[in-house]
Amino acid sequence: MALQEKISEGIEFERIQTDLANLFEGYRREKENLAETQKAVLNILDDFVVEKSKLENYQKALLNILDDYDSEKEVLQGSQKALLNILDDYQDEKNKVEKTNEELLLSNKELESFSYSISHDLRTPIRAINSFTTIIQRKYLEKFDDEGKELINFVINESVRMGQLIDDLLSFARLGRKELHKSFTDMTALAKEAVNKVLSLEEVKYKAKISVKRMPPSFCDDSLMLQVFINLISNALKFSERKTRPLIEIGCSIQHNSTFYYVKDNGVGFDMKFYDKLFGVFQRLHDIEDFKGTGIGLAIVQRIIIRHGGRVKAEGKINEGASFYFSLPE
Amino acid sequence: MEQNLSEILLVEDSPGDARLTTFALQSAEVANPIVHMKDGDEALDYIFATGAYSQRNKENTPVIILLDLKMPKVNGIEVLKKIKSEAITKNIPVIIFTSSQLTSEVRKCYSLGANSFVVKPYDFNKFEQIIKEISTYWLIINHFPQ
Repeated sequence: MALQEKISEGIEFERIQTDLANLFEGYRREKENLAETQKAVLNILDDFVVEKSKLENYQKALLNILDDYDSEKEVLQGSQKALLNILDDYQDEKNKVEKTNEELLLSNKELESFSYSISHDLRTPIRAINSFTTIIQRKYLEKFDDEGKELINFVINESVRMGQLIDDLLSFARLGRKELHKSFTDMTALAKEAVNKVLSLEEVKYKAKISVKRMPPSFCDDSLMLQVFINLISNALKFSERKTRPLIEIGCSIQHNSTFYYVKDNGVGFDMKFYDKLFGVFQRLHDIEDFKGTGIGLAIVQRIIIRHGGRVKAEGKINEGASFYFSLPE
Repeated sequence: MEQNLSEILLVEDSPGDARLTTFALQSAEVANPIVHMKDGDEALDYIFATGAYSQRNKENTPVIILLDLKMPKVNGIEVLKKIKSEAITKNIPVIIFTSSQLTSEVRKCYSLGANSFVVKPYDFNKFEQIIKEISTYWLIINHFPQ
């Protein structure tokens, strides 16, 4: 058995050796496969690293963009807030303006009923005082002594004056409400028209020499501007009449790039010390005995010019005349 | 001259103004009788022969009406509107004789058919002059439809 056994052992050994060789061969192949796979994996990993860094770059760029977007967003939010504030403010202002408008409408209505009341209710008693005193003076004059006659005259004259004051106050109040109807106006023609109007309306025959220079046209309400010229010319006539050679000049001059229309006279003038009172309502710088008038003329002139967006000014010297200037927006 | 002169109707709430108007009409030697109504309500009753004046013959229309505007109860505008909307009275000349100088009132009165709008002056000499001219024009110069 020993040989038999040895032979079969030898055969077995050979078989095992072959099996082992086969196994090794298989193993080697596997190893090769593995190495290949590993290579492929490594390649993939390499690719992945590249992709990753690309991705990282993208991400960075995206983050940057987002950062930028954030700051933009902040700016935008700031602007939006500011806009909302402006809109709020605007709404507030709009409400305020609407409220003021309402108040203005109301006060205009009140002013209207106020001037109605002045024109109607105050004029009636003045008319009664003036008229009944006039009738008494006419019918019963011989019953009064000299003092009585003098006092009656005071009542009549003062009631006429009060009527004039009321009329002037009314026309001044009306000016504030009157709408402006502006058009291109020939100021030279308008000044001439005013001269003719004043000379035909005034009761006194004036001896003044009036010259009207050529003036550029203006964009204004011609009926109101006629009133301006009438008031200035009638003042100039009144305050220069006592001169031996009264002169009145109407024209225009350029001062500080603006056109100033003027009415100049060589009359009694005024003291620049009282300049502030010159354009005031019912302000008079001369004795009522010397020069008649209620003191509304220049206040009306100023109001008309200011409503046009222009300005007035004056220069004067006692006994050397006065010059009144006004400018209008061009 | 006619025997029965038509009346001048004066519608005026102020006793002073009524007296002055009558005085001025008389010194202008106006011969027509003057009827004075103290407010618009009374005036409408008189003109249309209603109320206290229902016995009056409303065919005897006034020759002219001097109409004040601001009056208690019924004002001048309402009186004017009524006069100008009735066939029997619409040809009567209505002279608005008022203290008011409001342009809006002048416009309104003319749109309602007023024939004239006169502002009462406060100076009596001018007042008399105006009354004289009104009466000369409306009673002598102007012609009425028959």
